[in-house]
Amino acid sequence: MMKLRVLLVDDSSTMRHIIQTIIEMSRLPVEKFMEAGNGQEGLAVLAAEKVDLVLLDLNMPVMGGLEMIEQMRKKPLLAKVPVIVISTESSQTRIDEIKAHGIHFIHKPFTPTRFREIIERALEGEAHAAN
Amino acid sequence: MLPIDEILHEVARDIFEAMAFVVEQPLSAGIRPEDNWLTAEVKFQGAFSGSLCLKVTENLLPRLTNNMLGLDEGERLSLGQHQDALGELANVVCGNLLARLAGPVPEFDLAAPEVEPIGNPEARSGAMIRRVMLALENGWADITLRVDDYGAALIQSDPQSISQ
Repeated sequence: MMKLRVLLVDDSSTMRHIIQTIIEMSRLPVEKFMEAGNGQEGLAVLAAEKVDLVLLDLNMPVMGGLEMIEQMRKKPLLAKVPVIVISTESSQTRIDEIKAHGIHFIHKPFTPTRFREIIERALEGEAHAAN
Repeated sequence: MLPIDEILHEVARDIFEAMAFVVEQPLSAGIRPEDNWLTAEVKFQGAFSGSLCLKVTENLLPRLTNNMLGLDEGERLSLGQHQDALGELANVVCGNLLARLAGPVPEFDLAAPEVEPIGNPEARSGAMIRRVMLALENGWADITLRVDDYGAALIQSDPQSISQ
């Protein structure tokens, strides 16, 4: 697997710390781990840095996850960046809507094994799309 | 179908175990009147509205937060870090509890957790109130669910009807 540049967007510093720890436990090859506290900050990071994978919370102040995805989809350079939504959302309708846009979803709480599976699936999807 | 109190208890216990690695166990000491609490509340709206209030005794906080962050127990953390960790726990308990109570169909919007200063919070009012206490290693957690009259009627009559 290529070395990853990962952007994590979550307003909870605790959750950002937990996810970073889980990524380390998952032994994923991470070259750079970037953080943002809301969608607006996340878009600013995406404008300045190359990012291979976005891990995204939904409910955040200033700009939520769904609006950030919408903004990413409008920009050709960002539209194909794999996104994984990390949330407590349980409405199957909403989860299906998210997945229908090619976005992956993981429900909180989760195990490192499950998290790695979802990341691998998201990156595989991107590899297929690129071929 | 489990009684609502039992669902609340199960969900909270499982989330504490999965996210903070603290397990429920009998405590020889009860809650003392002088114990201080940290409180986080998550309000929600959707198929019905209400709130989930999570309080933990001050002595439990270092273990919870340090475990969640994967830090040594001796490491001192700021009140802001404890508040953020408790808010995240409340958020995850609330999201998972609503899914257990209402099933996968209804939609709910959860507000950002509101965390109060450490102290003895006043009791709140609300429609249906369900409350459970968990003894967790060296302290206590107190979890209260409040829902509006409409939600109370739905949950008490037949929780599965919310999904239809």
